Amino acid sequence: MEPSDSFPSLGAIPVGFGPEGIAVDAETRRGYVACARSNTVAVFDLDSREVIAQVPVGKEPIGLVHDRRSGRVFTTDARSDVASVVDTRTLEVIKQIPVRHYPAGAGLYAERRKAYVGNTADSSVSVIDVDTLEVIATVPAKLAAGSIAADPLRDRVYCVNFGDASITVIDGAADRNVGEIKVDYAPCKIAIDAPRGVAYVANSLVSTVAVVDLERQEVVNTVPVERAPVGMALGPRGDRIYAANRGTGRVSVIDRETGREWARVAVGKAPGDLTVDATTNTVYVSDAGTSTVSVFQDRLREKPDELPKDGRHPLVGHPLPPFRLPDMVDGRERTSAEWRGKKYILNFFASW
Amino acid sequence: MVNVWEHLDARKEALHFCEIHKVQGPVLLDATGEYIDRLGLRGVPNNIVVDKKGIVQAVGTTTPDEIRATLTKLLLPFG
Repeated sequence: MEPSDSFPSLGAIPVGFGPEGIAVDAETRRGYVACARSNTVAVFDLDSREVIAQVPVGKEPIGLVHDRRSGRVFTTDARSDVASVVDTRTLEVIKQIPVRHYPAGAGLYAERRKAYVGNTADSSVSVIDVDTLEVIATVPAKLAAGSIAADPLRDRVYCVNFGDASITVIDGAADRNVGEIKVDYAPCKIAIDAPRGVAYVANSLVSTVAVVDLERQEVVNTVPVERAPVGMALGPRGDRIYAANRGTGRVSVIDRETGREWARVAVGKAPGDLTVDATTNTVYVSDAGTSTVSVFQDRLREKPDELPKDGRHPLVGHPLPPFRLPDMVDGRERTSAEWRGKKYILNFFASW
Repeated sequence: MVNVWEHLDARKEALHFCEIHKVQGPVLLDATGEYIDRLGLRGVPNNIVVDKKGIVQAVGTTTPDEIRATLTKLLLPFG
């Protein structure tokens, strides 16, 4: 089967600028995505795949979690130093909770009624009671604390520290730092499979996903993926993991048992976070480069006959197409002619 | 360096980012992504290694190992 047969695209929803954290609620058939450059939560219908509301939140919302029981969405608004709370029935912000500096990561521990905020510029985690909407603790973490996930079976919460190549382990009841686990450089996102006792950590800089044994509290396997994975989610049947490659605009579908990439599914440009509607096997990907949410269905039943290979980019061996672009500092146009006769590296980066 | 896909206030956002991350050297703006699209690149980060004749030698090369290997090759005197 070709990837397009196994992973049919259901289109892309224009949602707003800089989409990042995303969640879906299969019951109410709604999706929520934090648009970091539009300063809103875009609310979309999972079936019509249309945006039904834009809820203004604080500046630069990045992380987002949805608590089904209270019907609330929490965003971490990095440039406002708050967590915004959206009531999904009225589609209004009911509170902005002050946290620490540059909150960029979010996590939820529904069983303990707690939401977590990774304060990236403060190396700490704020713990919020999702019912009273008060900060009940601030737990020290490490440099550039970000994405957070809970393991309800072992009562532990894990926060990845992008700047420290580590994961901070937090006691789910006592809200205390109980240690750190070393991982590869630049961990961006964590997803937990509690029944199997493992966590998956996307290491964007080295293009790997680390498999962490939650009993032994250490990395037991490292899986190479395509390039710069920043988003991750578990497949609904538990046999696969999805990783969004910001570097290539594709989602790696990874076999849980072997750690091999089964397929690479093309989505929008520079994808960030992703999430799954388990009732329909549909994957929703926030594409920061295209300001869309890409939607595809996963119909792959078993290991495909052909696994993806790394091909040579068609530009290699050919002249670089000329460029004419404004300089960031003074706006004057600069062209590739300026670098003629020199060896150089052209680096492409995004400021989100 | 080329800052891409910053659809609103590209100059302000890029300056802010470069200040925080202490980026040095020339930075160009491709706010709409028109140039990166023309190269067929669909994500960031991405590096394009260009030799003295203007020929592309490598695309991608973002992990520390890849960068080390490519630079070693590129910096050879007759490379």
